[in-house]
Amino acid sequence: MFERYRIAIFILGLVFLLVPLVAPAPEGLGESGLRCVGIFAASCLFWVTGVLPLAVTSLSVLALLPLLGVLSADEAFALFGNRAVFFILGALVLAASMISSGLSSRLALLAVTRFGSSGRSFLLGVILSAALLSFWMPEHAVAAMLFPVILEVAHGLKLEPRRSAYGVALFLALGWGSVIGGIATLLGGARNPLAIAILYQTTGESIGFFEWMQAAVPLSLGLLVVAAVALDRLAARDPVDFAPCREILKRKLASVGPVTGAERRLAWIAVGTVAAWMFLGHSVGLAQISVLSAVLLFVFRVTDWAAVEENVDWGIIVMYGGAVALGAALVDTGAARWLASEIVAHALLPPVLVLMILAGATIFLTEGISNAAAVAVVLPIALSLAEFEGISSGKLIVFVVALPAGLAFCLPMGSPPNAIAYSSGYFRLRDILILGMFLKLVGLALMLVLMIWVWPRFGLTFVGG
Amino acid sequence: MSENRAKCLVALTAFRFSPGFATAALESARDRSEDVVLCLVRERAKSDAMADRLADSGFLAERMLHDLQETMATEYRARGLEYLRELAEEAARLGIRVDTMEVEGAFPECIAQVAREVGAGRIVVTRLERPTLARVFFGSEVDRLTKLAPCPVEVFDRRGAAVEAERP
Repeated sequence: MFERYRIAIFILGLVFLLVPLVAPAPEGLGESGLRCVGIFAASCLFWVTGVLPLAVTSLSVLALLPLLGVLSADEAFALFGNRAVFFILGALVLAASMISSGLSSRLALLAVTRFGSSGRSFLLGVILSAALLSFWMPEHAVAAMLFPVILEVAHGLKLEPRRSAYGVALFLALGWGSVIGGIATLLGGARNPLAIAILYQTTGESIGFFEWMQAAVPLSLGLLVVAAVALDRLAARDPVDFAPCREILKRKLASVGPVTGAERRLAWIAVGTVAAWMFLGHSVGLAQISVLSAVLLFVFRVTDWAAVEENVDWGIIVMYGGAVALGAALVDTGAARWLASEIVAHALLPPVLVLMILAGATIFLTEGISNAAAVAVVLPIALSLAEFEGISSGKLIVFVVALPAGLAFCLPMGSPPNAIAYSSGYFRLRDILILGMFLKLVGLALMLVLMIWVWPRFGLTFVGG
Repeated sequence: MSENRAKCLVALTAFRFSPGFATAALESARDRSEDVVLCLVRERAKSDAMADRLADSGFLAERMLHDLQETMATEYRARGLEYLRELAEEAARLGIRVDTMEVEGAFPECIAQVAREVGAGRIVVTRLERPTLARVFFGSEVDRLTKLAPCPVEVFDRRGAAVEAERP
């Protein structure tokens, strides 16, 4: 999108990096802090405009931190090997095995065919399947996996692109179901473990797998109900005869063949891994469980390295390693604290208002940039901002930033599942904008309710928590 | 198709079509007694660019991305061919002589090239549904086509109202 401004953006990025080398440090910020602010500004610029791949921007951070004297080379590169990166690595290998073995397609088809009695029930099946699968697999993988099935159903129903209200609802159900499910656990979107890693590097606090679910699942379920009702009402304007599609779904399900031994073994390993993450995560460690689970997949011949290579984008590891390093450098150099103090200036606001402003800012920012970049940009500053405003729980800040960062409903580029759904051409930008904005506001309202009445039960309080 | 009659090139893609535009384009050709060349451009680069974006910001793995790209390309081609068929049928109903063709590449360059090859007297297109602001800041393929085209380019909106006529 910003391709025609590429050179201007690179020059501006260079200015952000070079000015701190010659400008005097402002009061309250050291020289290395100022340079770190420069790296942060340039990274934000590149992440937001996308003139460089996200992972490449992150990689450049790892080189720039020691180069500009912000951290030593040993410190900067050591941050790359943090626990979240290895948690994500194991989770990605598990997800890749589910995709390559066909188990994920089987589960998706089983789920949607159960709802194949009518058009409206199929719509419900799509949003539920997309959401529930995204609890346990990356949301974009779920959307990509279900996309051809939904497309075939749309053809079977002879839905007219952009004109059929049922078609709009069907593809929005795919995109939004995946997005809503993606916030519920640490597996749906790797931005969730990234947020925990930044929290850990910044405050030493951590959030367990089960703890995350306690806070996020109510929001996810609440949004799922609202989205399902809204899409059902939209689809009701354009009733469809679903009979021709039952055969399509049956044929699709038959095409995956009988359950294989590898799929059975994988199912046991996956269930065991999730149980271990939930109940042993605190004592054993999420990353260790994740890596062990990946090893077991090879021990039991569930997958091979070639399949993993084909089904994992290693760029994600580079992106998160760099983002965590930048977050830690912002805190270590006092840059995050300084930026936070500049933002709040003299305005001391009620904690709940600060939290809602953070959630609101993130939920809108995430429409324009990658979900992960939104976390990387907002969270380090938000954690310092919280200190100024007397909010003692870093965990609360993580939820207030990471959950809205996943709730991109309005624009196709906001989230990969939306982009995949939009690529079908069955809905227009204004379809997703209006309904998406409604869902965003519902999401914010639900967060407020959870923040005041539900999360404090789990120890997530505004002050003194 | 007669060599002497003026030719109107109607340019289509999987996303650059609407029934209103189709009717308006064909009726304008009938009113001017033109022959029509219907040209579908398969914009493979567009599905590839979308896939690239998904790979970058969505971290979609190679195999999944490849499958998705193929699904998109097949879908776009099928949809474009369907539009082409609809238009050809409508042209026949209106008694217009029509030729159809399919090319692959970037929309402005392909259409300008085809216009030269067939000796089109004018090109008729519709705009994509994009906000005007996006067009101003990030450019427009129709604007580029008007620069490259060897003949006037007429732009209809989605409802079929003529919005612009550009002479290069």
